[in-house]
Amino acid sequence: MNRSGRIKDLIRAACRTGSGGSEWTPADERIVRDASTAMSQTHTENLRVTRIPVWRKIMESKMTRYSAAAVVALAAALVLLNPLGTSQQGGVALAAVREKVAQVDTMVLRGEKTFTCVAEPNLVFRFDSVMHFSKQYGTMEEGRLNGALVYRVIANRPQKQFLLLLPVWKKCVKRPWTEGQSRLLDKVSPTGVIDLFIAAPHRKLGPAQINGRTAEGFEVQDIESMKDVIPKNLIDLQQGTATLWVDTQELLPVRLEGDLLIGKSMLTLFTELRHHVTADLESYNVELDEGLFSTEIPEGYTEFKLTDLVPGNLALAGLGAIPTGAVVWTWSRRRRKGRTPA
Amino acid sequence: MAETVRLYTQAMSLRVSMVTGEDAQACKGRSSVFEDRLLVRRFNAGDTQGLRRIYEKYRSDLFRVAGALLHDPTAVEDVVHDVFVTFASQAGRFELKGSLKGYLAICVANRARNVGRREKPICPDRLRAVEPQADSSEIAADAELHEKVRAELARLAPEQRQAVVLHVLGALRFREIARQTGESVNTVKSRYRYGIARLRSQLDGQVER
Repeated sequence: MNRSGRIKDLIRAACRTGSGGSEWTPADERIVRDASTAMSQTHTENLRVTRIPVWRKIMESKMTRYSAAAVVALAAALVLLNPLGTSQQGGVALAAVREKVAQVDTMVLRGEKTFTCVAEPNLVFRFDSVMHFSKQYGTMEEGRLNGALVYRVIANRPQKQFLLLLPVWKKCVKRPWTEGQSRLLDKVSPTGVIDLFIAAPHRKLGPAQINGRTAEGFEVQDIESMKDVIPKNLIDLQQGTATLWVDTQELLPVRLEGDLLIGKSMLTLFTELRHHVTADLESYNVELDEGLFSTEIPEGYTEFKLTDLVPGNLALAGLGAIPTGAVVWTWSRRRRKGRTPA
Repeated sequence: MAETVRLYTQAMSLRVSMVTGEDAQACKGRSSVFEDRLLVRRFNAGDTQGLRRIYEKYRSDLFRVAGALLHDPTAVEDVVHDVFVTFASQAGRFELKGSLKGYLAICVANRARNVGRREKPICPDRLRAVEPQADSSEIAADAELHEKVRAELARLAPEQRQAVVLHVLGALRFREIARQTGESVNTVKSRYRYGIARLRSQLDGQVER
């Protein structure tokens, strides 16, 4: 070995330190822990910085705020209420519940839906929702924000039509169901929710008192099967849990609870949201007026058109990807206008 | 998408190299670079396991570099700690230019130099503080020589010491050091050459052993 090589070896040997050995020390643990904390903080901050401006813009206007909230609520409702087909596996108790629910003609669920912006927990939408299910007529859901009706969505089974009403703006969307959607509509029923629990691995939570009834809880933590229901770019379900409480006497569901983490996607306006839903069984096998499921457009309502999205009309900004683009576009345009030329 | 395609292409080319029996060292180096790019992607996505893997991969090198530039074990730990926490706080916007190891090693060297400026002149007692835990026969044979090497290393001009430490202990190429420090390759080489020459002259005799 030449002299340079020997000096290099000497330096290496002389500078061998205890801390940098192969063994993992408490100091290493401290460094990794502190670095991880710093990284998490930065990551959260990055999310806040990049996502919040769009939300801030939406929150500036009561109209855009409500419309955005309505769309997010609808998207989540579609996911939560959409059944996933039947399964032969599962526990005996849930199979019995499904059997019982399948015999029910109508059902009314009342509850609450909460959407929280992950990056800014102060941004919260809380809806009071009522869902009507009828084997004969289809489904109808209403969402109210501070008592004001924000949306009503009707899926009429016999007519195979879908109607979305946005009463605040007197706008509506009416569409026939395609063949695929029609098949989906056929599955929309309370039994679908039970099917979800049967299809996914679930665990029993034991008995509890729900609204004065003795109920048994079933919890599902794997929402993988739900992820295929709606395209990921529309609504990106990342994590979630759902709990179903079943009346032990009547074998009917008395409460449904769900927690979902929805990643950035079109219908969430490219921000992460946490969604919590609670729905209690209000009544079942009650007479539901056919008019509730009517897809006739009420007087004064006009069809929602793309021209409603022209800049300046931010009221409908929450209706999905294109409106989101419109919000951002309008916002940047205003900012440009505000600048003083050099 | 483009980044994914690029990484995939790199992975395929790496695989081809392995299959065709390309030089093992070159293959290993490319594998490491590829892994670094994946780690940085995970790191930027906020994956703490990615960060942990980066630390595990380079901690020995970083401690060696810091240990050679500082003479207080606590300061060495603090320097590596600060560098890593600062690095972690760039998650989401870190752009890898050159090698990750080079970047981290230069960060450690720079911070160690700043800390070293505040340190008091080196005394033999402090040098002994970082003496490795080895068996008694090894200590008896080499302790004195190692102490002298560290003392001579500490007496080098800071730039020369940095070049020597990064090249010898950090195993960084001159080109990489130059890229990270913003100096020319020739400047880095000169500093290294002068540093080694000075060490050789000071340690003359012992080097021949």
